[in-house]
Amino acid sequence: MYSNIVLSRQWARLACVCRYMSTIEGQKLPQAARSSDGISPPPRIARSPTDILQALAATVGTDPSAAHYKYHDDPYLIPQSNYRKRSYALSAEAGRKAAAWIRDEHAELFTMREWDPPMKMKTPYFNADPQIEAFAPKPIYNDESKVTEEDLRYTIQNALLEDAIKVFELLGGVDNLNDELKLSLLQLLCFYNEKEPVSLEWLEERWFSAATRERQSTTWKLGGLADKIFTAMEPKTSEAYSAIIQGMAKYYQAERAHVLAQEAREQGIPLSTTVYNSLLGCVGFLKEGVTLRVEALKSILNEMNEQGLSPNSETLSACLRSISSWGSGKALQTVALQVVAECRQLGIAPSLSAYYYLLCLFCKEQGPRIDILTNIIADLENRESIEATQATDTNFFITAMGVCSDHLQDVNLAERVHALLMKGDNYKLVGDAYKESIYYRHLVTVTCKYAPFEKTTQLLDTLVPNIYVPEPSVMEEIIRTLEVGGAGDRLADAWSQLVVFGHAKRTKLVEKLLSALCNCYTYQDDEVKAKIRQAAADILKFGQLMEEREENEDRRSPTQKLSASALSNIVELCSDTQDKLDPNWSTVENAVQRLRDEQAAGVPARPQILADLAQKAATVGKPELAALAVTYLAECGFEEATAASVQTLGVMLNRPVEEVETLLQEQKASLATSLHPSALAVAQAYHIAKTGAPLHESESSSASSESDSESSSDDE
Amino acid sequence: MNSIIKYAQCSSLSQWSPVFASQFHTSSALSRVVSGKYRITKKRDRPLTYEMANPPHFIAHRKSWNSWNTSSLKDGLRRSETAVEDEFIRRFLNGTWHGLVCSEVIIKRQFNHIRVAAIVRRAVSPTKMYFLIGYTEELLSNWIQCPVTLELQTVDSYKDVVFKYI
Amino acid sequence: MSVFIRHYNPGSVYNAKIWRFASTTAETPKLTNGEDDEEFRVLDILKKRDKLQRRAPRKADVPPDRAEKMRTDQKWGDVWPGPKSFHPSSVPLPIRQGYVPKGQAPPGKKANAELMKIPNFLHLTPPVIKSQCEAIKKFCTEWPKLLNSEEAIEKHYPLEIITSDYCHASPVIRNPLSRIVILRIKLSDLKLDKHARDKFLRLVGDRYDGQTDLVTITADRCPVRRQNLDYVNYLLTACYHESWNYEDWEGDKTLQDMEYYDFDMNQSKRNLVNWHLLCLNEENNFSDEEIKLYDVASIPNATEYIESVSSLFNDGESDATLKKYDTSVRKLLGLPDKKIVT
Repeated sequence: MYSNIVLSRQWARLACVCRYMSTIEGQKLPQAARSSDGISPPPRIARSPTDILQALAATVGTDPSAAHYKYHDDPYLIPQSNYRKRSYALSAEAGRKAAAWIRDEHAELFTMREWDPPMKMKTPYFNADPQIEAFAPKPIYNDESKVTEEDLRYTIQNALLEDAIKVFELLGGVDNLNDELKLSLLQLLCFYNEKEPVSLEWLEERWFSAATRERQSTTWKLGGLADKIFTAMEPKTSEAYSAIIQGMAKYYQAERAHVLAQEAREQGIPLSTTVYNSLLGCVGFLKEGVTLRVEALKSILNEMNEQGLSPNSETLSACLRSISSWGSGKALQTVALQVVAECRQLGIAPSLSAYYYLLCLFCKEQGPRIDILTNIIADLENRESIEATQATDTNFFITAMGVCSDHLQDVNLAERVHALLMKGDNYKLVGDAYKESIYYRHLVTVTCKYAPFEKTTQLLDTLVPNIYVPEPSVMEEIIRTLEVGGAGDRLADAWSQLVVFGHAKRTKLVEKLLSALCNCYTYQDDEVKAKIRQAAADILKFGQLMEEREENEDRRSPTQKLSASALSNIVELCSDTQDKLDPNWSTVENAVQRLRDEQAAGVPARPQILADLAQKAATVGKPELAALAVTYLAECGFEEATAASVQTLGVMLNRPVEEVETLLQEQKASLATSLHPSALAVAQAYHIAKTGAPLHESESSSASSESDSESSSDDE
Repeated sequence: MNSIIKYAQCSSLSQWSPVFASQFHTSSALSRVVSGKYRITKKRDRPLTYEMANPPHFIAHRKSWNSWNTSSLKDGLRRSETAVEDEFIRRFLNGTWHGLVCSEVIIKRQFNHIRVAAIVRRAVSPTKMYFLIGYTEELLSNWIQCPVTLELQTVDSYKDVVFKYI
Repeated sequence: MSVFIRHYNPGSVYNAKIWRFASTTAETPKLTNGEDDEEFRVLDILKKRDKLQRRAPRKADVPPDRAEKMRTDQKWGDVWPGPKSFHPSSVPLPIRQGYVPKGQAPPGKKANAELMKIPNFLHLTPPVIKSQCEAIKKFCTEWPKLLNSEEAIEKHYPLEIITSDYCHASPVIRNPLSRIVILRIKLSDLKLDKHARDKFLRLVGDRYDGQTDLVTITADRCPVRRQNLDYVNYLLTACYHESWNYEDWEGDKTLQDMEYYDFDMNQSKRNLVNWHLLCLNEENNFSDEEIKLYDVASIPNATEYIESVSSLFNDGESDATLKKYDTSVRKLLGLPDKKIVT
């Protein structure tokens, strides 16, 4: 069937057309990127299959408003706190694991598509169904499966440790295998110490898993399967020895490793550089005391020399690792520098792990300030690309940033480190989630403390909340910086951020925030002031909500309540309005009520606030509130109470201060008839403040505020 | 209804002219579109989404298609397999996210990549939603042997997708 | 109720007592018993069960849309890098979609399935296209300078190979239609003499288009494009070389095989010559050969006649050719011109 294309010549040029020379022999390729004779096409610029895609991908930058791409892009599903980030990523992965389990359990349903059978041919030339490994079910090995050596090879290839051991047992143990299979199985077991590694497929698990520090303790399984295979291997080749020694050294079984190394040497079996590297790594366990350890290190290096093996960058890292784990001090530092210098002479550039160990050795927190980081960063910046060669390379950046932050306190260096991390593909060197958070914690701390305010705000805008959610301590730092910088609206936003990040229950943090808000309140614009008031009201509401929820749900750890200073701060902020109907007044009433009900710990640091509040309240037209405030002051026994009560009364009754004072000298009975109930309360408070006892109650007016009875009960 | 048809078709009318019987199925009572149309309720409180409110003859006029792929073009390949896969995906999604999907499931194919979009209610916590997302994507990919991604939009309740009440 | 249990389990009396007193439900029977004495129990005939109090689903705190916080000078290409279904909280545009009766506003962008259905090109805005083109330019080479017009291209590259690639939505990228290869070449670019051209045209058959002078050879009989390409090239070469070959049996070409009308060889010339000689009353002893070679120039108006007859046969009958034949015969025979009576 022909497709009769009637194209005009013009169209033909636009369509997919290849033009050939009129002779069939083909053409010589000219050498330049442009055509040499103006007729033949220039030579094709060589490109790999994905070069164009990579070029297109390079045009896309990062979106500062979006969360990480592994999260779904919906407001309900974007994580806003560290806990949620972890929870969402791991639950998505759990879903994937569930689906993978179903696929593996019911493999017969997933091997072919019912509606697209592989043998179906549409035309004689057409063949459907590409076979895709990633979507095919993975084999499950249990006691009934029939296995062959192929299965063993497959499991070893894909690092499926438990399956490999199962297959190995099903095949009949050590005796039925040939040597190379034995060797590969031995290598697998030694590398993983017979513990199943987390599959590469489960990225999130690996990303979030490394919160536990590995101890430098012996974890090698003595007498385990690896040992058995090793002993069963005859003859013991150098690869076998290498495998077992490296495995033991990796898991800190130092004595056995060295004994085996000795054996191998006696038998004349050559050992490779990597074996010696691993021996160097664990040499410290053989001896005690710095000098002996250093001697042991040197002896191993000499051995290496004798064997004719030249060191590589891993040797350097291993030496430095041992040295740095033996403590610190001048001697060790000099030894380390010697090693580095020697290796540099040999042309070995230190890897990231080597630098990491050097930093550990030199830049201890309590030690003197040593600045080797500048040289290190300069060296790394000059390198074209930084590749990760060892597992400990990922520790470098967090240590570097920690050094910048704690030890050196240098912002410029921190910026250089950060720029280095962001360059090209280097972000992968940050390691995993835990290391990332530590890195950013240091970065944010050092920037807050030592960088100019605009830079800090810029950095915070880029990082928070999508890339990094600050922990409470860092949050404190940020609040302090914002306070110093006088950024009122950012502080107001900080409260909502606290709620979202899940730090709202930490009372100390909230109180710090409140005091910061109070401090910078007066310099702000009106809008910002309104925002701050809103935030303060919110804080109180939140506290109450938390308490209610607590009562209802009976949680384990009760939340702390806000202290009196915090409440007075709230009062100060919220009372700054002339409008009687402003809802903030209810917040203020709430707060003062709580103070009186002794819901708050301690006493306000600045009782003047309440005095001012009383006056303001009276001016605005809320006499009960004023009465409440003054009564509280009086009860607590502050000196300001008297003055405050006098002034408040003056405002309430609209009379000058002296008249008020004379008025207050009168007896209560007359006062009761002539005064407003709240004014009466104020008078009471005045008397309490003055004399420590309320007015003599001749008749109690029913309208007298509850404060009357309460104050009497308090006194009793 | 069936018995009436049979009766009419074998009634005396057909004795006189077979034409009448054969044309019965084209009469307006039988030959009309009944799919995709919702009856008005007395209380006028049946909620309809925009999709439900526009009957099928408005496709391409006021409504758009739910399933976008190249199988309907000239010389498009794999028409029936695509349709069957789409139906599988729709049933799978409605079952796995039971009671949560508030709109039709929209399936778009680009080369190998299948993008499934839907509007979902916020009835479960985000953690559970992520579990469902990971599970759905992985299982569908393994079943259809093509990478599948979900593109969901969450909505507070079914009321937000309602277009009119009938 | 609690009393009853106490009696039944003597062993666990102590425990039961403690448990009962600790539980909150132990209080309630007491309360109801107390009430019984005071109030009259309500008789509930219909037993209307309260509709299950569905606990009001707690409205989740959803953070505000991402689109509110986007800066106006952001790079949109970073936000929407690839094709994605429309998402209202990520697109900062107030879009509405839907048909509504007159006066109503169309449904907004939130919870709008129609907006999600249509393929959007938010990932290919003009600035993004520009930057992508810039990024790919480094793989492009220059167009040869001398090929700046159609004629130049045709002059240097007379042969055209046309193939099609197809992309479609399926797990497999194979399409049977992509194996088709079409080769086109202008006949004038091939070096053919008269005989070769005639033979070539006979070999090629209806693949030749007289209007455009293009020979189009299509091949789709092999499963793979490269095979079809080789086949097409082979066909062209074979036809070309064959057309230059002269087989013995080609000499047996008769008058009916002639592909064009040659006046000299045909009956018409004989007629003309005979008639001419008849007019001149001369002897007519010419054989075929001599007739063929007879110089027609001596006959007046003959060349025009020859042309018109040839064109009538070669170009087919049409008004123009018939008219030309008409006038030329009139001239030849000395007849007056056709009078057009109005």
